[in-house]
Amino acid sequence: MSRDLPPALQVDGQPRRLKLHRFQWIALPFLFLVPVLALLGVFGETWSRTDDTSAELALRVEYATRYRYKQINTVETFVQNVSSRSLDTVVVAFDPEYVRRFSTLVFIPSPVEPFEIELLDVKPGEIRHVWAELQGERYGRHRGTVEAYRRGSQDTARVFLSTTIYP
Amino acid sequence: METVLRVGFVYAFILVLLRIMGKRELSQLSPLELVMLILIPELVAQALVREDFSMTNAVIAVTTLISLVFVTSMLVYRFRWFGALVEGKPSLLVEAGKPVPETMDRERIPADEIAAEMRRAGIERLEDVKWAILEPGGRISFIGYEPNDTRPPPDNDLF
Repeated sequence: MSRDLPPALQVDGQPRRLKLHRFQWIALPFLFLVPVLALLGVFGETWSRTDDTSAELALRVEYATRYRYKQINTVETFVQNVSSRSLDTVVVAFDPEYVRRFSTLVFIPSPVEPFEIELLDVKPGEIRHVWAELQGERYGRHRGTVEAYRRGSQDTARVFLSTTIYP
Repeated sequence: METVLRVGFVYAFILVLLRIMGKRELSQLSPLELVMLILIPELVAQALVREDFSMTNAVIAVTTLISLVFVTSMLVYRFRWFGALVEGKPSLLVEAGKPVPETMDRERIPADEIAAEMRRAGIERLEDVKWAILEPGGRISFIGYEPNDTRPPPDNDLF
C-alpha cells in the first residue's frame, strides 16, 4: 500500500453537505430531465400501423411516426385484393407533398409515375408489399396520405400519415 | 434511450480505465498517454453517435455526460470513500527528506522525476523536503521545513 498522508497534512475533518447555487436549482432539473426523458423514449422512434379498406382493396401501412434528422426509416405498405376477381393494375400512390419532405427516397417496386407504384395482376386474396425508404430531412411534422386503387376506379383505400422529424 | 445508456457505459468505462492507469498519467502526457488520449475519442465516438448525427442525439449525449459528471462530483464531495474510489488518495513520495520507495514503485515515479519537480519548485536538495505528495490529479506538491523544524540526518542514496 502507498503511505497515507501524515496527520499534520490531513485537514479534511469537517462534515460535507451538498449545496447548490440558486441558478443550479433552476437549471439542474432541466439538465437531468433530458436524459430521463430520453430513457423514457420521448426522443426515440415511434411506429404506427394504420389501415383502410375499399370495396376491392385492403390497405395497411406501417411507418415511423417519429424519428430524427438524417435517419432512414421505411413506410411499408401492404395491399390485399379483397374482391373475388383478379385486378389488372393496382396503384399505390404516395402523397407527393409528404414524400418531398424527405430525402434519399427509395421505392420497391420502382414507381412508374412519381411516387406511384403499379402492382400488376393482383389475384383474389393476394397481399402485395410496397416498400419505401425515406430519410428525415426537414424538421417538424409532415402529413400526407397513401392511397391504393384499381386503375380506372374511383374506389380508393386511403390512409393518413403523420411523421415528426426531430432536428 | 440507447444514447443515454451508451454514454453512461462509456463514461464509467473510461473512468475505471483512468483509475487503473494511475495518477501520474493524468498530469503528464508521455508519448504513450498521448496516443491513448488521441485514440480513445476516435474509438468511442462511433459507438456513441452510431449513425445518428441529429442535434437531438447530440443534446441527449451532452446532457447525459454533463449530468453524470455533475452527479459524480457531488458524490465525490459528499462521500469521502467515493472520492477515494473515483479520484484516488494523495500518496507520500518523500518524508522527512527521505524517499518512500514503495510509493514511488507503485505510482511509477522515478527519483529523477521527483528531482525534476523539485527543481521546478525551486528546491535544491532532498533534505529540504519535509513531505512530497503525489496528488490525486497527478501533480507533486512539496512541503519544506520551517526554520524551527528539526531535520533528520541525510542518509539516502537515491539522488
